[in-house]
Amino acid sequence: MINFRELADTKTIGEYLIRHKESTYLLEVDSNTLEVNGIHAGDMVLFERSGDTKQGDIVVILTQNGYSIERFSEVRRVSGEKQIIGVVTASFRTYV
Amino acid sequence: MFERVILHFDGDSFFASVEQVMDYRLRGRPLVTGGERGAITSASTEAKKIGINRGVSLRDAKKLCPELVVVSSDYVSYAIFAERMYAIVREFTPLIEEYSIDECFADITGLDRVFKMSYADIAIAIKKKLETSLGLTFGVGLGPNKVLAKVASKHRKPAGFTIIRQNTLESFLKTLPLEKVWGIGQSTSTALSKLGVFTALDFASKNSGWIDHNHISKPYRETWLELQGYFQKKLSLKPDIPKSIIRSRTFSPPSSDKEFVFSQLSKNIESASAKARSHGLRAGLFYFYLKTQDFQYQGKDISLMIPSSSPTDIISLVKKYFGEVWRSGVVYRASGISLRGFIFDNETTHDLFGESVKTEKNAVVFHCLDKLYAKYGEHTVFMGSSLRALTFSGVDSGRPLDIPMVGKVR
Repeated sequence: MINFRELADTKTIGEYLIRHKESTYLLEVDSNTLEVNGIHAGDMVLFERSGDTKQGDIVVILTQNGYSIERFSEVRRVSGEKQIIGVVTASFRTYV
Repeated sequence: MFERVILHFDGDSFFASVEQVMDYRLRGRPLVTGGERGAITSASTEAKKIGINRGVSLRDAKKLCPELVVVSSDYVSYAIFAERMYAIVREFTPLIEEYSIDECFADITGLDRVFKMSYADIAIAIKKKLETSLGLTFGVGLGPNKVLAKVASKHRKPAGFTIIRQNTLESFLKTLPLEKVWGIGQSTSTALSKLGVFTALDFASKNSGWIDHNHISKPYRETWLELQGYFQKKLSLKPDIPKSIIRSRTFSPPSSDKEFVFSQLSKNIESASAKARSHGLRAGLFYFYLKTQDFQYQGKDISLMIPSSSPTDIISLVKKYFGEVWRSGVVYRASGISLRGFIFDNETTHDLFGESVKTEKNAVVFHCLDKLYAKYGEHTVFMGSSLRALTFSGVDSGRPLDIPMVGKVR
């Protein structure tokens, strides 16, 4: 049987946004967060929990005060209290 | 090395740990789950350090630790993390047994050549992948069979990794009380202790003459052989009965419209019961919940008098209790249902008061609907109460991706 859905020129948005479902989590960007690399207040952020971070990644940091995101640089290695828990893989927002 | 190489993965303080991942403010704090039933179902590592575990009553636990955090069980999240655990292990081998919500077995025999890694390194690689991906720690055991892999994973907690080899077997079994061996209950170990068998080693050392003479039945005979290092208990690769079927959906924008939220929940119920019917199962228990915009869960555990997989039966019960969970003025972001306590369709028993007749009637109706769904797709015919959810504008692929929402970036 032909599955017409598979033949159609469509994109499944979930699959487009998510590479590794098993390690992906969602965060909402709070209203008073400063912009980081085009990620604005109110956006939704998808991140993968991962041990590998490299120069240029937008990383998710977890401290006792909660989550923050910043561009990762080798020079300012995050240490001590701050813990890098993953890498931002996608963000999205809606307008209506 | 052994003929077979079996791994056992056991999530440390699984429910409590999932809670700590879902809400970062709970990290590092003594926490127990099971608040809704007034009994501890899981204790965090921090709580265990103060002597709080599943055997302790909630009242005593609070006495032991006044700052103890008690939360209601969030089975939906636990199941999502369990599914992720199985999927990650499956990336390494298809031979996995989904033993329970926080445990699984995997057969990695021969994979040392495939991955060009030692068995221990493969186990460590899977453990690492699980721990980074899920944000939880696992106890991992490696052995020649399920019984010994399980002895190994329990050996060092939390986050331990233990290998049991033929030449170290004795040292593990020597001090292991028999009732701690998987599959040997209290009554069996009491019976065996009367025969002078107290430790796992005592049992393993018996010869087959002794086993025959004492009429040791087949499952225990298998355990006896596995304790000696033989592979007896096969992995059941496909779970014949899912532990739970869960459907939840976050709606955007959040809503404080009672009818709308109920219709969302109703749609989840239709979808979950369709899944149950596709397995030929009926649920005896379910849990429905609403999640507020502040990520608070409010829900209710309900048991069905007659197990059912008809959404009408479940929806009518939810309708009855919805008011207890719903709070007007509160903005909700998601609803969900978790069906549990399954029996097979043909296992239903008839009751005295004719309730089962109604259930049977519904079962027939929905069996026909399933045929319709199979032909025309899900939700071609639907319950009136799901109407608003189905006509709700927005993209809805009908296939939830289940991405846990863990908080806000500040």
